[in-house]
Amino acid sequence: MKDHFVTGNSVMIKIDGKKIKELRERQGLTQLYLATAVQVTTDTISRWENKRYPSIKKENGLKLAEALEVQLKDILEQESEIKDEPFPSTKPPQPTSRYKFIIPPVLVALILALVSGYFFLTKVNTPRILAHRIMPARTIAALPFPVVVTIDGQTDYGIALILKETLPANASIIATSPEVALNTGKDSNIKWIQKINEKMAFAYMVKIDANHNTISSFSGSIAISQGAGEPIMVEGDSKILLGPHHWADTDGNNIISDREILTVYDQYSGIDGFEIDIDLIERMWLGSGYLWNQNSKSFTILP
Amino acid sequence: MILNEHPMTIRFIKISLVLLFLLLPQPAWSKDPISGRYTSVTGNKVELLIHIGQPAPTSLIIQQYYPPKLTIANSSPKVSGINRSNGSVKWFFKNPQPGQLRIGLTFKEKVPKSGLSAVIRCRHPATSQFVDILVRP
Repeated sequence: MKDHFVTGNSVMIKIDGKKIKELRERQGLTQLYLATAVQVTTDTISRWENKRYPSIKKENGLKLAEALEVQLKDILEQESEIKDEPFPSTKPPQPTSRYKFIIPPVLVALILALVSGYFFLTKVNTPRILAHRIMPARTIAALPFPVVVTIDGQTDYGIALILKETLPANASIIATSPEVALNTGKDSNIKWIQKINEKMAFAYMVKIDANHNTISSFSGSIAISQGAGEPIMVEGDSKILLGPHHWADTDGNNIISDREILTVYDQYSGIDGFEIDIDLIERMWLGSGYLWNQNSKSFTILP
Repeated sequence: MILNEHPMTIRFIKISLVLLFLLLPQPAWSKDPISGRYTSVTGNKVELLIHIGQPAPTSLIIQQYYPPKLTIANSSPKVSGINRSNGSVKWFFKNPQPGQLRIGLTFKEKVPKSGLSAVIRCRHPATSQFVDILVRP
């Protein structure tokens, strides 16, 4: 590596900043002392020490070496060689050295701008997806009940997504809409791969074989083709209590009220290819109540 | 200063502002999606007209109350259920279409206006809030 170079009328050399600091500290000298000896400011000394291989005028290098009681070659950059060349003039800072100070910050600023721009554009293009699960709060063991996951993809273009629903271990899928992409029957996951534009509902009928008073949990997540890669969790209802009440009987009072049947129809109907037993619920609603008979596995509708 | 000297002008401005507010179109969600009125209660016949807005609710319940001593001879459309003890009939409409829905009941006896009322129930299509509307002749 070349140890010196001529800029204008000055000969510049590259010194080893770390070595300068070590020599100064070893001798118990202050930066002020060196600054006075070299006839520069303490800031300049500090800058020289903190940069790995700062370029300085050779005349300053000689003064610095003298103040540190070493040879000039001892404070030069390791690979450097000394060539005795005249340095007749002391002109103002030269363009090349000025650019050397300006270029790095400009490059850093450019890189920061590019990185910021990338993240900004990525964020703008990342679709905002909301996933919400609706399911009853209670049901009867081994009787099917509906679960609906609505996806609200707030974008102007289609999004490919994978919706994964994780069911309780003792759950069995009865029907799905749309048809699932993967349900091996061996595990408790079902997956859909779908392209959506705005809103879409994924629905399934499921039953759980477990004892009364068991609380079963559902969970789910979405992976999308665009975005940060982090899965989006399905929010909303996630737990269901097994007991003697029909899934439409929200408050568990053995009566299907006007509000309950309206809610059933509002939340679980209108999904293509997805049927709930609305006729049974309507008969229960028209009666004064209902009872579940565990032995006969049937409902008795009270007149 | 000038306005203080013209109280009539101030009153005019205030009234104009109130009228303007009333005339401004209200957002769709602020209106009931449904309304109803009795169009006819004559002799033994009762007719209820339901107006269904757009978008329509996904389902609709109409409950007609009548004096329990009366007997229903006919209905259009067919009722979903009758509770004779408290004198009420119910209809459950799935996917009602926007527009008008005419409900007709014929009793075996003459119907007194005073004993009639109806309740229309649905979930608001925009907010999912429950809507209960009481209708009297």
